[in-house]
Amino acid sequence: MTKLFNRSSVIGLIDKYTAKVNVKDRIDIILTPSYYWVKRAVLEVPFTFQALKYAPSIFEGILPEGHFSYSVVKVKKEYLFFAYNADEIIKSLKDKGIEASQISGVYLAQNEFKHLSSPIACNEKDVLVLHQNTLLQVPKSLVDESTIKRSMDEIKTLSRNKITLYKSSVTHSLKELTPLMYALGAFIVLYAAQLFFTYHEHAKISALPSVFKEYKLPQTLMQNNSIEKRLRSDFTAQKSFRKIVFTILQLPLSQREKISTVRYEKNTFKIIFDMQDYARLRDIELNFKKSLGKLVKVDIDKNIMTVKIK
Amino acid sequence: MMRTIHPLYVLAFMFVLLMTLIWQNNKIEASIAYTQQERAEARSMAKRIVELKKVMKSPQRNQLDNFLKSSVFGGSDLSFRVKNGRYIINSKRMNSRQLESILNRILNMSVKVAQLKIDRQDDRYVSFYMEIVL
Repeated sequence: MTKLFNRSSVIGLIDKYTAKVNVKDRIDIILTPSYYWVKRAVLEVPFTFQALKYAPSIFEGILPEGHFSYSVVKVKKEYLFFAYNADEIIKSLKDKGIEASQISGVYLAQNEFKHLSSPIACNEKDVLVLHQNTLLQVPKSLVDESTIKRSMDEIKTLSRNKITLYKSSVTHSLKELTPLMYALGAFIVLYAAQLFFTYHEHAKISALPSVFKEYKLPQTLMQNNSIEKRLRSDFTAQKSFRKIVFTILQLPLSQREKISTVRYEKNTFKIIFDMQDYARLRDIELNFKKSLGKLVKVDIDKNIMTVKIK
Repeated sequence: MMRTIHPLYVLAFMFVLLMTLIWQNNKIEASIAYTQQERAEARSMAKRIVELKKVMKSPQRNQLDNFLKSSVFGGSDLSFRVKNGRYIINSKRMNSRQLESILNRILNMSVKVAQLKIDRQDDRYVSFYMEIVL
C-alpha cells in the first residue's frame, strides 16, 4: 500500500494482494482495477442516473457469479461503467485489517489517476499504467522500472466519484444487525399484542351504559350538575331555615320582650319585635350573628330585624 | 437491475413502527384512564344527587294530613289544603304548645318550606301560615 500523509485522513491504494494494513486514523481507499470491471459506452441519455439503468446489460455475460453493484461516470460524451462486488470488497478490506468504521471513502483508481504520467506500483509484482485513458494493472516487467513511482504525490485531491458499498452489502450488514432487528421485532409483537388488548378494553369501556342511566338520572353531565346545584342550594337553605327558626324559638327574651311577627319568604326572615329598647335589640342581633355565624346576613332597623340566608 | 433494501431502512421502519405502536398504545391508555376517571366522577355525582334527593324528598301527604288531624290541634281553627303544588297550613288561633308541636314536627321532616308567617294575636295565641313544596 502506498500512503500519502499530506491530508487529515490517509489515502491508501489497496489491491487484492495488499498485505495487512495498520490503520490508526480514518482512510480514503483507492481500489485498483483488481476489484472492478470497467467498460466505456456512448449512450443517448443526458444523465448518469439514466445511464446507470443500462449498466447490468452492458456487463451481461462478462461478470462472474455474484451480486454486483454498478457505478457510472460521465467523461465528455461517453460513459464509464464500473461493476464491483461490494461484499467481496468489504470482506477483502476486513481481511486486511480495515474496519468499516475507519473508511471515510472508497474510490476507483480509474477515476483518481486520470492524468497518471508514469507507472505507479500497486503491489510487489504489478503497476498501474494509463493506456488510452484507461487505467491498466500490468506486471512490472512490462514497464521501465526506473520510471515506477512509489508514492502518490500526484494526488492532491480525490474526485467526487465515491462508490458505496451499501446496496449489495445487505446480507453482510443484516448479519450484524440481526440481533437488533430481532429485539425490535419482539418489541413490535409485544406492543402490537398490548395494543390489541388495550383496544379491546377501550371498546368494552366505551360500550358501557352511562353511569347516570344506572341511577335513573338525566343523561348529560350538564343537566345533572344543574340538578345537584339546585338540590344542594335547597338543602343548605332549608338547613339554615331550620337553624334560624330554632334560634328564634330559643332567644333569651324577658317577659316584657316579645316578638310580634315572624315572616319567611324567598330565603329571608323578617322578625318584628314588640320592644323599644334598641340596645337590647343590638344584643339580640349579636346573639344571632354569634349562633348562625357565616350562614346569614343580619340587619336591624329599629325593631325590625332582617335575616337573609346567604 | 435488482434493487435491495438497505438494512438501516428496515431498522428505521421497524423503529418507526414500534414508536407508532407505543404512541398509539399510550394514547388509548390515556383515553381509558380519562374515561374511567370521568365515570368515577359521574358515579360520585350520581350518588350525591341520590342522597340529596333522599333528604329533600317530597313529603308524604298522608303523613302530614294525619299529623294535622291529631287532637293536639283541637281549637286551633286549623285548615290544610293543596294549591299549586304546595301544601298550605293555616291557623288563626294557635297556642304556644301547638306552635311548638307543629314546628318541631314539620321542621324535623324532610320538607322544603317555601313560606312561613307567624303573627302574635295576643299573649296566648298566634296566627300560623306555612307553605310546603310538594
